[in-house]
Amino acid sequence: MNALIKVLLWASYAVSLYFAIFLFLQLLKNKYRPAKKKLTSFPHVTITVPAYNESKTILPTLESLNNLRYPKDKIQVLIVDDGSTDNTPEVVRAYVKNKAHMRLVKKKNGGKGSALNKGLKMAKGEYFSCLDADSEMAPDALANMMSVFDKDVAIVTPAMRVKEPKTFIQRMQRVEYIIQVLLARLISRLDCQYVAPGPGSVYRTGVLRKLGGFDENNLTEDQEIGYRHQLHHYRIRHCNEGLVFTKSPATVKEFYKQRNRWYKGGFANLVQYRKLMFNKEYGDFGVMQMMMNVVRYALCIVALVVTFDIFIMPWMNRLKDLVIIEYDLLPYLERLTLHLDIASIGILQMLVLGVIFAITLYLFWTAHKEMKEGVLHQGFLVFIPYFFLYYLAKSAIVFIVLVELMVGKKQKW
Amino acid sequence: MVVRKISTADYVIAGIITVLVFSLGLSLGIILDNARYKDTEVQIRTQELDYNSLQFQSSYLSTLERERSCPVLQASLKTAIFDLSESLEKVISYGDNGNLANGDFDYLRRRYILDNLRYWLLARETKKMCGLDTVSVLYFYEENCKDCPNQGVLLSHFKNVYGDRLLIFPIDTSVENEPMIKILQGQHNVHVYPSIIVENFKFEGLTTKEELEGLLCRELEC
Repeated sequence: MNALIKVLLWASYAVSLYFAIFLFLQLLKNKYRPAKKKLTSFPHVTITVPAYNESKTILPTLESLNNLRYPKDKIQVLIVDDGSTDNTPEVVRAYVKNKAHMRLVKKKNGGKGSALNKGLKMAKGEYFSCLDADSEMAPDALANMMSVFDKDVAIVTPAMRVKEPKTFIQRMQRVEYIIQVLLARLISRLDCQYVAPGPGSVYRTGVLRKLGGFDENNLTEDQEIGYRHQLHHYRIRHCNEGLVFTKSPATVKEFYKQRNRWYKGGFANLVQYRKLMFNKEYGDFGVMQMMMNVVRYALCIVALVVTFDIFIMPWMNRLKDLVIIEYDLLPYLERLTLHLDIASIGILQMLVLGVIFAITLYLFWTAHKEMKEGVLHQGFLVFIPYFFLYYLAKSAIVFIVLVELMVGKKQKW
Repeated sequence: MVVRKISTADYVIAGIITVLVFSLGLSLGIILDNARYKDTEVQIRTQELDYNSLQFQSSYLSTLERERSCPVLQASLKTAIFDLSESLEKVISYGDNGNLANGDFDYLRRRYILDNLRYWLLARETKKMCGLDTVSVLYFYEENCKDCPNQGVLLSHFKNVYGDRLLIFPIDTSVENEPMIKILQGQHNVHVYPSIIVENFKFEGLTTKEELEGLLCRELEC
């Protein structure tokens, strides 16, 4: 192994171990306690559903909004049709008929950000929420999230779950989302949240308008608005009881497309808000979270380099050896013995990786417990690749995104 | 508006625990390195004893009991050479993984080269004396040689094919402080790597699978 890879590897171990221990400490300090606060008054909330060619998925979304346990006269639902070319407007029109709190708004196609801004412009509510047209809110989600607001809080984010995972990749994303909910809960206590997920986040309308609404040209407008709130020192809180179910990509192609957009948007936002980095004025968000956001991408690249060096290269060499011996494998197989020399494994490496793995497993277990889902609910076959392949797959996408950014490839939402 | 705070205590505690984990790992690593070194030394001492025993067996046989005892000597020699090659592989693997201090690694590498050469000589003598059906291959290689890994793969392949009838003695010529290597290189006029000496024939550069197959088959009468 050459020296550079060794340095990268050990730097990654140190950083990963440090952050794993830091998160573990946060978990010990912030045990989960379900919210007990009940709403005594119900503020008026506008929920915007941006929709572009969603005729097949939008009805369950609207149905979930209609079933919210929240006074209907305190909800304004705006379904903003973003110039759909399918029959989304007809489907919505038929559904909202005789529902006074729901309304279809039509506009020219301009992207999700512009649809949200249209809703924001028309919003009558003191609070503003959005819900993607392929997502559903649990009946108590809105009331639970509203109960988290106090005078300092400007955004409350939901606990997102993957809706009815069917394919293998959806099942892995379900596991990923469960972990993300725990991480959101932990960093929320440090005022470090920087994403207000499109499905279900609730904002203060006044603050959102004051900050200029959503960035219509941003690939990840829900992250950008989170960063902007942080920039202006507004508090973002997470609500574990604000359950929102969302449809996740079902195929590798869809998954790749989504993550490619997320990571490109993520890089752009990091560059845009770089002045927050190491900025003590922003407390933990400046000194820790911003750094973690950069380190996360760096670790992805290191993971790829190390995987290539430790796993792929040796296998390529073995293949090369096979060519040299002209595929004459029989003598080798006849004398094949399995002997593992434990002493040749680096003890420091084993210890560091062991601690990281143990903390990850504990976080994994806790996240599932908090979401009331068995650790192996998605099956053992999901559990193993989640730990060993899913992260690498995401790292590969990060790498591709970096290359695309370097060659200046543009991407639409 | 958020009143920002920095969780200094948490960062410091996380840092301390990280340092503790690393320190523990490093300490255990040092203990294990020492154990590895000691283990390798024990192996070397055992191999030296084996060598002395074999040498004595050889001397004894040259005067007495040749027919009855040759098979015993042959078996002992093959086992000893196999053990030597196994422990040499282990030392190289420790060295590659950085599990041994540089000084220790160089010392052990040099010891193994000398042991290899002693066994090579003994194998040649024993073959002459007992008519063993073995072929001894002296394999010269160096660290940055392009074709050496391929030659190594081919020799390992034929080791798998012929088992203990093929005795390979690898000599890493990158070990600079061992005069015996220079003597052998001079004697066999070896300037190109890889080079192999099969019995008394020298082959420079990469010896292909076909060439090696023909050569070994001829020597071993297969």
